[in-house]
Amino acid sequence: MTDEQLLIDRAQQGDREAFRQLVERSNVDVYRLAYDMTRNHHDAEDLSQEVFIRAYRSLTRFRREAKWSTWLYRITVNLCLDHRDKQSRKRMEYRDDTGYEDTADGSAHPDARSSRAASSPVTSSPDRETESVMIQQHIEQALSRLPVQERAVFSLRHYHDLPLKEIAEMMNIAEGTVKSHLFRALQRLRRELAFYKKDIGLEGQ
Amino acid sequence: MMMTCERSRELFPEALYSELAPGLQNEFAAHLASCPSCRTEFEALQATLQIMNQRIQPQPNRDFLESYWDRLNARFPADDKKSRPAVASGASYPGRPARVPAWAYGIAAVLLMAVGVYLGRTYFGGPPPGVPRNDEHLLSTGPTPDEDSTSDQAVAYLERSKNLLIGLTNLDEEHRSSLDLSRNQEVSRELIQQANVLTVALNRPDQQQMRRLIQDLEVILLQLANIDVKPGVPAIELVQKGVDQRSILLKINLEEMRAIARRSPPNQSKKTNL
Repeated sequence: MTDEQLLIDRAQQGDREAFRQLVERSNVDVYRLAYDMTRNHHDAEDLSQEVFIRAYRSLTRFRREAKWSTWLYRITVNLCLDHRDKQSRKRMEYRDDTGYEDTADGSAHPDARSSRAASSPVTSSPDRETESVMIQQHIEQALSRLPVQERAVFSLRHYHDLPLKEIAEMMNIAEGTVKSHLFRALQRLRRELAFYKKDIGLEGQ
Repeated sequence: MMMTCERSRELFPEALYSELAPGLQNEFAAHLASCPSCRTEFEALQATLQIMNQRIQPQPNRDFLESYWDRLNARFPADDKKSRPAVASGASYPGRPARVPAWAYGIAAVLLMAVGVYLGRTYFGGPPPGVPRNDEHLLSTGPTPDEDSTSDQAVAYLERSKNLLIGLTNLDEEHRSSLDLSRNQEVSRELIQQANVLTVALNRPDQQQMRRLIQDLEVILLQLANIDVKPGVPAIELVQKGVDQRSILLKINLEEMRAIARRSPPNQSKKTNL
């Protein structure tokens, strides 16, 4: 039995300290997934806490065959999607950290995208001295422009290292749908990162 | 039969993340080798992932992380705690140290009270009981300018010591481990030198309590000045231990001073005598 399983056992028997250790092992990962889905630090912080509240209440229903992290990610995705739906119902539009207007489902506003594309200096490479800063900015912008489902799948596969099959089970969708989401996400990211066209094979296209 | 381009692209997600079934790997590789279009597309996606690998992962706010469990724990086990205001966890005060140990407040309170009692004794109090009669002239004539200057220096000394110790004891968890004590030790050494002069100058009977308080502080400051910071041992813990031990003496002194002040006849105040 692994250390994590021992902690889960103890937590299931009401050991609060064991649960604290489980929380501290995974709270940053949960926060990151929540951030990738909401694109908002405050929402991600609040939702990550809510994830552990839900996990604590459902602890006795956690089964050994599931991975602890996968179980938490499932709760995170569901909470974030619920949050997104509530936001949609309120018809609230918000701006993401980069200042670009973004719709509640995470997809870019067409006008914002076209105006950004028009203003992007796609004909020249970024200055080497500021390249790393610019890369970060472009990566975050590119992620912000993915629809939330594609962003969730991409984040789970790329940054949380979950196999496609597990993502499908976790999100309760077909594995083929997960692959489609991921493929579309990759194509969008490739287009969004056209700034680095030499690196990603868009030169001359 | 060769794999089609359509089939090849369906397999891109699995191939990019090394999840391609073993039976398809050779076929997929063969297709890429013979199809420049699919190969270019596949390589472009690989390059895209390389760029995405350079992402600096989002990081929660430090204060939020430090108070993470406290905030969470406050919501267990009953739902009725849901309405607990954020103030209870300190989360609404990003600039506030995450945790200030209780003894730090104790030390601060003792020092503040000691300064207050001293000021009271100096400006409003009389001599302690048992002061010989031949000291009456000090009360009737008031302190000389030099004595006033000594009292002012003593008050300033207390204030500076208090600030130094409160500054150390109010450190949050993060700064505690990376604390550079050199500046604090330098100030401690200055205060110790000042204490040597002050304890000689505080020679009036009614200044003896202050003199003893400064001597006690001197012990703490000596401890701080002489700390040998060893690798892996957080220096602040050594300081805290010393302050903890000595705070008992400070409290004793304070209680003695307060008792003396209570016993002093109110009509012997310095203002009246002046």
